Amino acid sequence: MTTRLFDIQTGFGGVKKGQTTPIALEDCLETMAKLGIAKALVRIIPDAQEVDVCMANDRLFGACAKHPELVPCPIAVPATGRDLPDEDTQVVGFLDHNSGAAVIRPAQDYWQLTPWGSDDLFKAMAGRALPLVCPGGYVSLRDIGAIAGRFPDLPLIATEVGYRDHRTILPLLETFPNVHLSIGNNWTVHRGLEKTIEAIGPEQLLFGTGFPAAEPTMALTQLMYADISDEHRRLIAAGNMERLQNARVIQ
Amino acid sequence: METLLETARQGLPLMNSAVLDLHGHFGRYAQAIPDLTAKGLVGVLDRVGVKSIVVSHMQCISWHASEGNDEVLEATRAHPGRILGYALAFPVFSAAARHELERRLGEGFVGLKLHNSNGIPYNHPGYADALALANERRLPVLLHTWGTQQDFEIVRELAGRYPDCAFLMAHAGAGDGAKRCIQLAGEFEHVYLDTAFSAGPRGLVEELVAGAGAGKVVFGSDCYFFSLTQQIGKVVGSRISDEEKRCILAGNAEAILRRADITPLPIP
Repeated sequence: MTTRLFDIQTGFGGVKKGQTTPIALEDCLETMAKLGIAKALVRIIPDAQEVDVCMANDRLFGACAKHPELVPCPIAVPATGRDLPDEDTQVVGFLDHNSGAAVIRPAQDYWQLTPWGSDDLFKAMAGRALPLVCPGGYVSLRDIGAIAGRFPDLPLIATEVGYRDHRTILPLLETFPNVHLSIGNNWTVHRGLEKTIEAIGPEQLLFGTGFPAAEPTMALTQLMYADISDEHRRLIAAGNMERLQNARVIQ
Repeated sequence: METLLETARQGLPLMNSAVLDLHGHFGRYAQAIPDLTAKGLVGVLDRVGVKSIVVSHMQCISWHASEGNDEVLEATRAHPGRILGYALAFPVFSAAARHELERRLGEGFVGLKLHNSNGIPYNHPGYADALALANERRLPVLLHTWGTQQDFEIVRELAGRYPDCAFLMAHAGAGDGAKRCIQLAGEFEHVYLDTAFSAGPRGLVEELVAGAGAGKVVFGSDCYFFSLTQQIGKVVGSRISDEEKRCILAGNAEAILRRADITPLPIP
């Protein structure tokens, strides 16, 4: 039986600095078809030129509405500048568009991960169990631990975690059961899946590829060749993310 | 006939377990590597379908080269034919480096690995005698590179001076150096491009193959510094033919080992 895959670290629609062509939605869809990926949590990436989060999110919602296999992961920003809808309104809007998570990028959107500057956002997301995606380029593992400690009901997903971070990611996952790790680019740890499962079980591990930056087959082979049980493989491949999706409070 | 990608999608061993990995490591390193055992490494080879991996010790960046070679020797003897060894040589004295390589070749090592993170360039006089021996024996010489101008200049210099070695440029394409790697591989028949790269940028394998030809690209995982199960994916999933993938995953490495009169043992 083919293992069902839910890619939580992928996207399309953005342009890398110095390039003229965006990553095409069709490219993302073709890659999913080639690798047999059933569902994907998608962001607008590369995102360095996405300076209007409302416009970026609207483009994302528009594309996902036409493709049920795509689950949007919009950009969330604290409403501390009084220039955006308040945090509850943002989160309700995300869920109205069937968002599977929301991503933050503090430096890009000019805010800081201080409790006084961001907790209203995390409180709104925690209240509806909407997972928070924390890309390594924007959110440190230290900050993920701090947020996870303050909001134990908020599922957090660490993406773009480096292979040299194993000494830190393992105790982070152990200490905070609400933190999850994408096994995608750039987490290339020898027997990392096997040993992480031995330490904390499979529930906090999620399949992500790192498309379009990385060759997505790398995450696939890392999962498929891991010496783990089929049950654990299915959880990482899709089951854990589907559990997080089902836990969202959609009213 | 099932494609390599279809085989990998099911998690089944590739190519009747004939893959050769010319860039492996053994031993403890500064970052956490959760399984340092030779048995764990061979288990990974079995699952992916890798016949043999050629490893150097993590001490390749340090002056503890000989101690590292001892640990690799133990692993090669515990798993003959599955784990093969690159000897390390630290260039305190050129004669000593050559002696270390000579001794290790006598113990069954199959090549030489040099790393410049110790701050010593590969054209340092202390390496000259070891490289001369590698040239006499037509050995594979794996050089850590990261796309710097100095890397290319020195590899070009060595390739000109030692025409019978097979020089493997590790991490080909890193540091935005793909075009210069391709250029060097085109200039010298005995310069090959190694695929090990943690991030595995999408399209890089295709670019190397388009520029240098599939016959000049060799599979290296950097395992267990990286995960072999992850690194194999960039070749298997690349948009090139299965025939080209087979060259990269086995054919080219077989030819490189054969020219040095090295025939890995069949899997027991």
